[in-house]
Amino acid sequence: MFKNSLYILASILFLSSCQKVIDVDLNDSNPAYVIEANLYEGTNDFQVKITQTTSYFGTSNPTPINDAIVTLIDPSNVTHSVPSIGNGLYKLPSFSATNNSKYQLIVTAGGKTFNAASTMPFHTSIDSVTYEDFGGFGGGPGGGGGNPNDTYLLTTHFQDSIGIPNNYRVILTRNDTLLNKPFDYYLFDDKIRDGQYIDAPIFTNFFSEGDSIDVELLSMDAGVIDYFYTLSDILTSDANTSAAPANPNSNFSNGALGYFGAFTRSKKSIRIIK
Amino acid sequence: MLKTVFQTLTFLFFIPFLSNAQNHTISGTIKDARNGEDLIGATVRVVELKDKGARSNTYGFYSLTLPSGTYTIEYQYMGYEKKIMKLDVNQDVKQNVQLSVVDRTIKDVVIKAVKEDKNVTRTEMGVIKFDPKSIETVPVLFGEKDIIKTLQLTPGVKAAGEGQSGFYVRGGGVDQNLILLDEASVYNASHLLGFFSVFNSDALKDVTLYKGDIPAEFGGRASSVLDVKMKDGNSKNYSASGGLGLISSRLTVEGPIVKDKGSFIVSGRRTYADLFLKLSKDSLRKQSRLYFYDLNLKANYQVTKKDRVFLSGYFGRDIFGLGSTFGFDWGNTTATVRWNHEFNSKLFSNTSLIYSDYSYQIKAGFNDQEFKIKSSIRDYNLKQDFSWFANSNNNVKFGINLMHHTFRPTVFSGTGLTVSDTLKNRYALEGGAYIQNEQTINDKISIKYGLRVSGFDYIGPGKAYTYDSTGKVTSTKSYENGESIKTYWGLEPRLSARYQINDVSSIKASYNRNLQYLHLLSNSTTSSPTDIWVPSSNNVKPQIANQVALGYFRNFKDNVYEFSIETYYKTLGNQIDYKNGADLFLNTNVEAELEYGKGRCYGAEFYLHKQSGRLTGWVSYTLSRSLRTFKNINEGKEYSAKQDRIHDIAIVGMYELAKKVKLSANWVYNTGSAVTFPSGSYIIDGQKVPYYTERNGYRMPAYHRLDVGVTWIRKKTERRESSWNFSVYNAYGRENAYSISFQQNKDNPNQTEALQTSLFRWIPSITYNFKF
Repeated sequence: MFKNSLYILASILFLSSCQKVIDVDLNDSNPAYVIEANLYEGTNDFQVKITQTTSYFGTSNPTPINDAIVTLIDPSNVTHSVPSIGNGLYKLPSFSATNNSKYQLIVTAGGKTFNAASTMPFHTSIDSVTYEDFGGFGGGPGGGGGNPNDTYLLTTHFQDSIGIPNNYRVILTRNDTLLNKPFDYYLFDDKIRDGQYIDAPIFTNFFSEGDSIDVELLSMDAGVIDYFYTLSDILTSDANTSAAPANPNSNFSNGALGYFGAFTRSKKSIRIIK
Repeated sequence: MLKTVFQTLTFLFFIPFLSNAQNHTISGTIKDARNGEDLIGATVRVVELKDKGARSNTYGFYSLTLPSGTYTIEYQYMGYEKKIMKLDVNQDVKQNVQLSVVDRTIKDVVIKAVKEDKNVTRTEMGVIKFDPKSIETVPVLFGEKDIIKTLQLTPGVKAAGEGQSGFYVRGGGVDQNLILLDEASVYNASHLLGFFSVFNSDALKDVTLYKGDIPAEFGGRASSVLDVKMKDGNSKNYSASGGLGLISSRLTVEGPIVKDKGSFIVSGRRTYADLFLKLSKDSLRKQSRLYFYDLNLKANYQVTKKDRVFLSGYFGRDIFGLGSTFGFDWGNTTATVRWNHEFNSKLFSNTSLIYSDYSYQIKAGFNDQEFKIKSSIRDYNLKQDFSWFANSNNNVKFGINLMHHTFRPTVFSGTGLTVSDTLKNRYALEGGAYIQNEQTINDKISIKYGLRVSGFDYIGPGKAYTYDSTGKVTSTKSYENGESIKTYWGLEPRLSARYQINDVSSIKASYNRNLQYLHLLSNSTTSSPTDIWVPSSNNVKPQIANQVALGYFRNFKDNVYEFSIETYYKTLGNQIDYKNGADLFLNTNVEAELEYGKGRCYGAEFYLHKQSGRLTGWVSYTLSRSLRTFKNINEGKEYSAKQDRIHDIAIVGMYELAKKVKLSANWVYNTGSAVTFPSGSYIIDGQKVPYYTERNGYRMPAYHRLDVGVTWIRKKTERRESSWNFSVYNAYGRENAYSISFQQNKDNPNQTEALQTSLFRWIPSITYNFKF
């Protein structure tokens, strides 16, 4: 909001600015490993994706890595090998994960070992999701393409657990389409509202009558939310707003990119009717 | 032990002043004959004694002690006619002097203006001094003459970005410049996103930038001091002057309170860019407000022969609004009350009480909801300075000051919101004491040595937090009103020396150390009104700068040409940067987001200045580096600071085509700023993410630009003057990169492309200036 207002100011002032596409010669760095691992509460397939970075301007997909050794260590220190299923994916079928427990992931690839630990927090359930017609404020920063019918704001209601730091992410699916543009990251914590009953308005998107929306509330530890905060910063900032861009803060050791997250989740579906 | 050392030092210090021949003192003031303005830094020379001389101080006062005898005394000031007097010095002599400007457009005279050689003969180095009048015709953006933009054309000084009034001095940061307006700190010296400075040239008398060899009387910033002094006002006649331009208009009124005893000046400026917005069809633009204004006021009065009082103030504000839903304003207020007292012909005192405030406020509201964001920094400063003209070879300055700071962090308030108590005001005391002597040893060697002792006390009421490496609060302690939370102090030695090789050349060397107790945290790459100043605290240590410099100075052709080479090496300690992903806006625990490191800067500055003739101007070339090392940034390896532009060239020329027509042009070139670009990419969480390997490992494209201007003097008489000024900024329309961002190609979403944004091509402007 505030940054945007500065740019409105700038653009009003300087109608004479111009833009053009230029060639920038970027070095191709040594490829780095990228690990994405999501562990959910309950019995699910645990899946890990391992790739390597590619050149920035290139159109090729990141290189999948199939010869890594992936090991999950559960809270009782039992190790589980996670086998490759090809295309950079590794899968441990029907793994049962419990909340309030710490998990560790060890990945060995190209002679390097990358460690990460993530604590699955207590379970938080969505009580309800409500909506309200806001009239002329359609669109929302997340896009919606500025559709003038997008006038409904969703609010999710839930009880935060007292005495422990909680970190939340809300993921929305609109009419079976996952909303995953850079501005769709909706992340918050309970630092100033610990233990309260939380009504969180989801300002990232507005909706229209007739929309079916799935609202998913993920709860995670501080290291993982920090990864998403810094990831969303990089995706939404440009050369003007970010003083010094850097890679997101990974919870992996040894310079691997990506994250290992242990999440609890709660989902509610809603359909907007007048 | 300490006492003995102190006594010994005191004794040694006073040895130079123990000579006891039959001496007498000539003292007085040096003023401009036309308007009674004090002339700062005018020289007084004794023809018979080559190594004896004096200079007028900030208030035009001079004092010169000589053995009994009859002397020929020369008073001179750059651009003014020399005045020569025969004086019998058999007792103390009071001699006030008025010098007249050499006006070539009125009288058809051969140039006899003084061509100064102070470049070569003065001890000081690393100094740039401007009379705002002398740079009037240099073409600038929007025709808005601006001393800071002109300073950026001199060696060692770099603009913080296209059209920006923020500047870097010798590789230091924008916040490492102490900017003083009549002794009051100006915390945010820019208007409208930095495209204009707060200094209205019409109200200014003297501008001095110290890049190194900073006099001991100044302290508080690591890299430089920009000392700006307002005019005192015409003490002889009432007069008005002003200008009408496309972007803004100015009006200055000045005159005597009592002729030759006191005067006042009021100078105002307002921009009206928003009036054009009213013509826009777009309703949002139509309802917008966007302007700034400046108001400078000053008055002075000679109460007795030995006492003079001054009152000066500055008020400036930027106003930005969108309809009734959004308002944003920011600005500085400063006020200075001064009392000059001449104890005797050798001891001059100035006492100042100074107030300075910078604040911003954002208001937004719709329906019944309203919220406000506010932040400010406010100072009260009491300062006592003495100039002791001990004898003709020693010029001593000493003094003390004590400042109280109030930091009001970003406070968020609004309907149904309670203010978080971690956002209470913070307080600090800052003080300094100094002594400095400028000593002429013989006609070849002069030295200047000084010491500043500075201290800083971060005081309660308030809470002090400690943080672990991830930025979590590990402990909190509460402090009472006035209780010291954290104290720092330090010694800041300042030394310089000059060796005169012959009449036209000299070499100089200097060392100085500066401490900086206040730090600027910025939300973005360019300066923004919401940047906040924070005190040194239990977490944030004072910044330390050490600089050594060596220079060679040579004048040619009877001082028509000045040439210098200055080299420097500077180390910076306790530098501040942000943790990855830090967000400072509305953050209650900013100190948890900071990283600490060090820096070093070095360079060589070449400067050739033609001071007089039909063609005047200068060529400046700076070769320099500015590097930083932080443990958690760039894997702990040294990297380029953003302002690490290796080559920097500026050429400024002003040519008098005819008596009433002046042409001017300047051309600048510099290496692009250091910037961080991605070196690869990957996909995570369904997003294409850039992969960064090196901080500031890339360069923006080189920057260059030509500006041209012409000034046509329509009328010029003793009292009346009017002129037109036309100029074009970026005359050959170079598309300089303001920013480079990366985006998906519209036709092929898999393809990423680099998009360059440029501002300002062929910006014409026209200004009408008048004086009566």
